[in-house]
Amino acid sequence: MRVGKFIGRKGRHAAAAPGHGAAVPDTTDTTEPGTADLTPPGPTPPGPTPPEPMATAVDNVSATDGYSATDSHSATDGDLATDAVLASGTPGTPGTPDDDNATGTALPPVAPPRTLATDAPQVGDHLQPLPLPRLAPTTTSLPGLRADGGLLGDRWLGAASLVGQSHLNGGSTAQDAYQFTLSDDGSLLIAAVCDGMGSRPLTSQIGAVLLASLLCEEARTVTAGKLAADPRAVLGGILDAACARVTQVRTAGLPGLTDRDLSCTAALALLPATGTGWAARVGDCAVLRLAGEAWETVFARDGGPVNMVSAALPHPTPAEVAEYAPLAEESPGDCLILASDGLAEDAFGSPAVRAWLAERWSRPCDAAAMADSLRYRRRGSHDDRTALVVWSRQLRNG
Amino acid sequence: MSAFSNVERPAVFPVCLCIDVSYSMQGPPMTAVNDALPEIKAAIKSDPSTGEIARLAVVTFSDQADIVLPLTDIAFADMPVLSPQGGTNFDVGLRASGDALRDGIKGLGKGSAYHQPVIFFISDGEHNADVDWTHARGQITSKEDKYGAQIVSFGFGKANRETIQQVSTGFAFFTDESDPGTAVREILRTVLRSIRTTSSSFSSATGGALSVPLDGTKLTQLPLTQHMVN
Repeated sequence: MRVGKFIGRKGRHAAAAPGHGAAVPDTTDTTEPGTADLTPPGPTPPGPTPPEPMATAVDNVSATDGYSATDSHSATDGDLATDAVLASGTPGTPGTPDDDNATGTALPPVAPPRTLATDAPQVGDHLQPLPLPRLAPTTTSLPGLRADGGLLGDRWLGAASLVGQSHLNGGSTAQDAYQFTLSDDGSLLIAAVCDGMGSRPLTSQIGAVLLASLLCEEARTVTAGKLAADPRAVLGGILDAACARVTQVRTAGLPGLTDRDLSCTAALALLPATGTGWAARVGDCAVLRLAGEAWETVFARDGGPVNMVSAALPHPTPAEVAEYAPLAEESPGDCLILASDGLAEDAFGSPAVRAWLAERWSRPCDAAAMADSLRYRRRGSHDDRTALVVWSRQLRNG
Repeated sequence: MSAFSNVERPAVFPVCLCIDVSYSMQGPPMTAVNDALPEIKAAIKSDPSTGEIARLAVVTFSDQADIVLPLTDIAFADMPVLSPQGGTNFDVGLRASGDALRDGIKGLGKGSAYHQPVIFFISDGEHNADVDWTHARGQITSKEDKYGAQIVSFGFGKANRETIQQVSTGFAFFTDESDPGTAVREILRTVLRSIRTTSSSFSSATGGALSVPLDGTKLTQLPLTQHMVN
């Protein structure tokens, strides 16, 4: 058996590739907490330590790291491999009905794109350059990158969602979504991550976005007191109500679709200001805890093939197919993480990815730093990556 | 056992080619197989979204079955050269394919992530051994078994369409191509496409739906039989 290994990092400390400009200054270490333009908005005490910003680069185009210098259509004639590429248009999704790029025409080489430097690791043996990304022509496609970082109530929340390489290869849309809010009385932080089903590549992202929003919307009327009194009933009620509203919205506004077209998995967390929070999930989104470098999973990881999930939403009886778990009040510095399976499988299966994320998330992150934390390259990891991280309230220097 | 692995364990997509090498395959069909295997390797290796995930095993069957390539990272595989021999026994071929996948997945280590295995079954003839192969098929495709596989079956030449249908778990194909070498080449091209499209679909919690693109081929998809519907 071959196993991958951590083979190094690249980024702002790396020598610039000839012809690709100079290495850029290291800006991270000189940006201390409290720097004016990075201080989070809102009340300061008893807020968390200001977030860790991401270093930026203007022209550090070690862009050939990461991408192949040629478009994935480029090929020469004559063999079975070429037959497959030419017939499909792209190695990513040959011949699929939604592949508008399947022209069968080899395109000329394209210069690699400019990108930002990163310290994110490359994990695994013999990593090849990736083909140039293809954008999804789908009119309901999701952003390839979404990121947030800031105070929500008195907690710092960072979140990012990054389209997977397999979507970029084939020109299909990302399918992960996240949403967060506060309960109406301010007693609960509410967070949801949803992951659209790959078997519905044109529509499931709609379901994921819709469900994430409606889960948060339905949870807003809950109070910390109600949650503490009967957490499973509260969470189950939110799931039931959100699924019912998805169906209502679909019927009214998307009559051509079925519930299955909107299928997704979901994780939902309700965190009170003090005391025990609760999480629910349907399918294989994950809820994780991170304390220093120690990782825990709130829900047991399923065995068997990873592309076979136990359940998805909408569902006729969502509360019955969901799993529920308490979330003990976190210690200072701990994180609670809601993750799509693309990120969770990397955390489960890769010590190097865990070490990277633990280091990145050792302090609250702003939006750019959250996005950067997902930019690692791991052999075999081509799924969408979504992480919503809630830091404990007491994280503060001095 | 911790859910978190202490060694790097990337998720893999286990694939097994189960190829009939009975005497009827000698000549152009066998030549086409032997020409195509290295090309399949090159094609998968050159595509990161497939090559980093797919693991390939090759099983041959005639009167007996051989695992001529255990489940292997294809970038490092020495592709076998096949030669014709004996009669046609589906039972041993299917059992050996199930063994190759099970042993290969177990060999990845505890806690390793994997996608549902797929067997690509290719035959030009009829099962002619005195054993019921359907039991083996049922065992290796059991939904109760965490190693349970899907089977995509391809028939050509003197293969029986109904039998080819029964072997599969949903996708069954037949080609009436008169040149057996061309038929094999077309089948293996389709296999390659299926490996690539399926690998690329592992992009969400519930992605990974097996797909078998037929564009530009003369393959005919056989209708679902009742056992597939059930």
